[in-house]
Amino acid sequence: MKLNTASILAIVLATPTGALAEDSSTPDRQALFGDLHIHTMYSHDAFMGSVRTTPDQAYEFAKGAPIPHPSGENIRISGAPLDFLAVTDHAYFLGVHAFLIERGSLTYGHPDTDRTLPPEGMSRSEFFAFMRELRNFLPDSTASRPEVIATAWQRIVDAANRHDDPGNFTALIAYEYTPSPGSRHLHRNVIFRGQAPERPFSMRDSPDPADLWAWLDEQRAAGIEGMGIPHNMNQSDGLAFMDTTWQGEPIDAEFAEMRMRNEAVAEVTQLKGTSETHPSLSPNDEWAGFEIVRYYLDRVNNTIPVAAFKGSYLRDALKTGLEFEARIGVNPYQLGVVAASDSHVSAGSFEEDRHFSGRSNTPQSRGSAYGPDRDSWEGFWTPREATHGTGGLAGVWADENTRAAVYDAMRRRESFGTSGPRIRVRFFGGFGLATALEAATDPVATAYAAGVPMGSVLSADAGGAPSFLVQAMRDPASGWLQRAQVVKGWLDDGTTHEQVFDVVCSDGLSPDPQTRRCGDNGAQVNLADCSVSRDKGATQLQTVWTDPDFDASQRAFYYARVLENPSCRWSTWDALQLGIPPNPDLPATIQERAWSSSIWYSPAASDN
Amino acid sequence: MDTKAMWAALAATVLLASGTSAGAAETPRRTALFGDLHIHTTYSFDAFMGTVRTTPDHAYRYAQGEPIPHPDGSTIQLSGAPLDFLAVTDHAEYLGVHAALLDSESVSYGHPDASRVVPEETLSLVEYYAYQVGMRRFLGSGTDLAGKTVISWAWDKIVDAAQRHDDPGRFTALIGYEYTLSPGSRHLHRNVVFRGSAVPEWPFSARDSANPADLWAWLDGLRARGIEAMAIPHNMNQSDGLAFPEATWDGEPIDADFAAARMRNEPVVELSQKKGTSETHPALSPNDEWADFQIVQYYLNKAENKDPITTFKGGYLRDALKTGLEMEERQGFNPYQLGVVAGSDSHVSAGSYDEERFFTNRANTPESRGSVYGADRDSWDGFRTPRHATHGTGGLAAVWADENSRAAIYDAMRRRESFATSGPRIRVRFFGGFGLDGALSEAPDPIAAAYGHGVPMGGELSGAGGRAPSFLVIGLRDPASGWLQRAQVIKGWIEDGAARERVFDVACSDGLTPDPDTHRCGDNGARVNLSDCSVSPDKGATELRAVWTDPAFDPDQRAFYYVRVLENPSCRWSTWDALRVGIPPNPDLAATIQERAWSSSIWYAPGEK
Repeated sequence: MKLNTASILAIVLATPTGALAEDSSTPDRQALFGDLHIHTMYSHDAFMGSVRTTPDQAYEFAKGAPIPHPSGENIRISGAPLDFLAVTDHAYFLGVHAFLIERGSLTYGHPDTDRTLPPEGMSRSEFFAFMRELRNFLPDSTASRPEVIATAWQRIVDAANRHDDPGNFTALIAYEYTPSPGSRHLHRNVIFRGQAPERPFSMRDSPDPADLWAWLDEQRAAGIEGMGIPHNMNQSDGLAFMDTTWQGEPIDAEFAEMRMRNEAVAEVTQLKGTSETHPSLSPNDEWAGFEIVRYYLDRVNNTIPVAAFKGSYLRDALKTGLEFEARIGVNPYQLGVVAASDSHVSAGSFEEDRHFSGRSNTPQSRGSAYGPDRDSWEGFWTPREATHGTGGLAGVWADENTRAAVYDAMRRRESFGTSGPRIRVRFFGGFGLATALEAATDPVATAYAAGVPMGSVLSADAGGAPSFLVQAMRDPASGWLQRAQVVKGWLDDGTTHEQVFDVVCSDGLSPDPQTRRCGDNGAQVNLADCSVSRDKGATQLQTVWTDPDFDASQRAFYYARVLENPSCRWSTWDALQLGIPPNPDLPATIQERAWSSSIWYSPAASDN
Repeated sequence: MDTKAMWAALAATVLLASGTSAGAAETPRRTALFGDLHIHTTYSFDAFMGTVRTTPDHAYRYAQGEPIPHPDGSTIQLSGAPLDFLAVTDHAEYLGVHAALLDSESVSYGHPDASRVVPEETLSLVEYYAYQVGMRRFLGSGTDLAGKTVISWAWDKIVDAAQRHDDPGRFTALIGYEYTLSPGSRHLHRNVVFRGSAVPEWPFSARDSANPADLWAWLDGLRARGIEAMAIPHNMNQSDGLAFPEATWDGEPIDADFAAARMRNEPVVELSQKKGTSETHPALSPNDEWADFQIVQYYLNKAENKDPITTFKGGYLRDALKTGLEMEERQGFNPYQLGVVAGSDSHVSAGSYDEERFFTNRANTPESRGSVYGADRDSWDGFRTPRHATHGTGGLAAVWADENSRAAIYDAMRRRESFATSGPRIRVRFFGGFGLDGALSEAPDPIAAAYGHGVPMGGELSGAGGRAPSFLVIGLRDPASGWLQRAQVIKGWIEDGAARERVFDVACSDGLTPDPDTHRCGDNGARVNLSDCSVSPDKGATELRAVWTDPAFDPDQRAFYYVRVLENPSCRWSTWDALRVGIPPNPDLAATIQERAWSSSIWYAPGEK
């Protein structure tokens, strides 16, 4: 095993010198939770959704203060404040709309104002038409000239610097790069480690993400470190993780290295759906159907069903990456995970029982309740928004709560994603880890010393199969944990495979050695009031798991997924509050969850 | 580099240069740990009589987040985070005597007199009291059923359970028990908590002596043998003024030796628990608008719990802190320089800290606790509210500890760097010092600066050339509870030989500031909707913080200062009960409460003249 600084430190702490015996129980790194995807009034689409809150207000919300929602009410985080936040406004048209209504701004009174600001009371289809027209003329209008973008960018940077409070709260400088060729999302958030560039590189500069990477390489050479974080791969129509470049060329080692240099992690879930996997890609994964968004955004008023799955989901990309690595020697898809909200109201909504959405923020507007023109769900057409989830959260195992520490954790992929609750997941792998952990008083310190954390690569070892430490702690403000799983993908004879292993069960159950599944723990949801079983599930799950099918010659990845007991989905809470049955098109309950980044296994060169 | 980053980098450099641990600029040296120091299990005779059959093992498992059985047949589990620490404190008197009769491996299993202490079936409350009187008489008669062999068997079981569950760094299981002295039903109860795994052969109980001073002598004796422990008085509100007397319990004047013995053995008291709050009483603090918090109105075990409490002096902590100042001024010693913790005093192995999910003993029904009238009525008209209805939920003890271990938690209480809450995990910091305001104005890390230039809660300040001390006050909300409305400093001082008190609001939520004359925050508009117990969605603060300088400071006046942090109002447990049943809340009880936290005090003494 290669020693990095963390493992050296862990060894020092674990050494029985006496003085540090008590300290060894404290993990070196703490879990921090935050949102890396928030839009404010400086995003054109948020502005058109009547949002008038600023990046400053987004940071204030993250720190626990109430801020206004476009519906007129105030919103606030009901639980603990976030540890970090990145405001990620769309770089193209950045602040263009906001400045048109700001007295004294450099475009106040601009002649294109009326064509740019949508009139009140448009229907959905009128709004989409207005948006299409806007995208045609606005790029060439002086209302969106570079000076405007630069001024808005400076305000965003200033807001982040005002709110960054090392040790307590991290405000990251960021923006969204938003190419959508033919409504297929190749969106990325760009997050900076510290210093900001003079201006953001946007899809107006180039719609090819490879050009974004080239720009990030240039910035890095100038001392400005940033990374792209792809999201909504589920909306990419297979373009997110292709077998070729976006120019149609074969992916070579240089392209793969450039991608990995600039994109360490991807958003596994956010309000516009989960991109872990899809039931059609993972037919043997009973939990694959989690918050799957069914329609393409912006195509025929959001009514065209998504039909291309390959290339759009992370698990499949991790498998494709193994194939590439075997073929060209580099893996372009060795990606860790985070999650986020993608909220367009400056404020993430992470809780099912208090879900808020954009604009009028009513159950009718999000398809969880039918309107006054009906008295049942019969014949109701469920809109795309109803298949949205609440926002997710990014988790990092960081040395401290600072920009650099949060960024570096993502860079080394020691990061995880959750569907909203602050479930903490630890995942370590190593050869001989099971033996080392048997005698360990502090499993985490031992795992850092004798293994590698999530995000790392294990190389071949003569010592048999690798073992994995899987640890999960429930969010005290959310449900209890039902099971922890290891998801394995591997390459056998040039073809990839996947399998889901339950590795630790709640309620004294253990995984069946044939089916690899925990028995039913009996946790139920009472749909009459959304109450859950009072005594099912675990506060903490922990196990050491050794891959029973390990083959040293096969490339593989492993990641952990932790599931809560079932609980009411936001749409069921909405219906319950109105006293109507939940929309039968939507799942009434969900299992909140967390996903770790992967640990990869690579055979020794001679085995290849 | 922006200014903040530069400051942080500079601070880190300075701290490293001065040899302090790395990362200290970000991480406060001590973390807040929350726990319960007062839990009864089946080894307590009264819990056993309440049909509790759960053991200390169950209690420690519940504290760590696992479900355990309730006597009513249901299962109970902490809805929020596990506790950081727990002490099981079963009554030393007749410890495990009843439970042993049911344990086939115990020394008294199959004892012929079992039926004289284990009632055959469920008795009415009146019959139960009568049975208890007979049972106590029998147990006190010298029967081997309650002999030292049995007590020692139970004590070993309790110690073994704590040893099994203590997990340094993650969860602390303290070894403890309750010394339960009740002369004439006046409570002089104390929990005894040990610092480590070194414990005596058996616990010193009220059967050994009916004078707490003898308990202290016993603790002094243990200390001389290397066994460190302290006693924590509780339910001073039930003491009828005996808790903090101006004379010893033998009727002698308190002298310096007595005061020192008390302070050596009792640094903190339990400020709040389910049987009421002992901070202060409206009769003692008429100018404190928040003094009437969870005041229990009746004596326990007197006239079937129907005798109203009428003696307040000597029964509440704030008054005792003032009495302590007077004694120190007059005689040069202070027997009441006390810090605070809180506890549940649960008798079902499991604390109930949440208003919304409150559970009680035995039948565990709203009718049994007076929050709902029975099927024989259709309104509250003429309903006599029982004593139990004036009980609160349990409180929590909190410490600012170097780590989560027995020694670190114990040492935090020993130095009184501890605080108390009414249930929520509100974190309170409180520091005082001369020139602290100046030091804080340029400090990138206020906590490090406050430790460097001042003393934390529990500490003492002495005169510094007539300057007024300033105080750093921080309140952080519990994310699982309400938002914070205000933070207050409560000052007690000596003026012309007599102690006085005043409550100062020092930090207000919602952009309000304390009025300079009334020292009160304006109304922040936070409301409770009693039809569904919902609260104002956008009132109150996540964090309150102030640097406060005493505007009425007189360097010649001895004083104490402590912090009280109040949440916005929220429904009391009795209102939640009524709401679920669909009846109006009991009009005898407060419909809403303001959850709160109290710090330990910082004392000021004039310098040498």
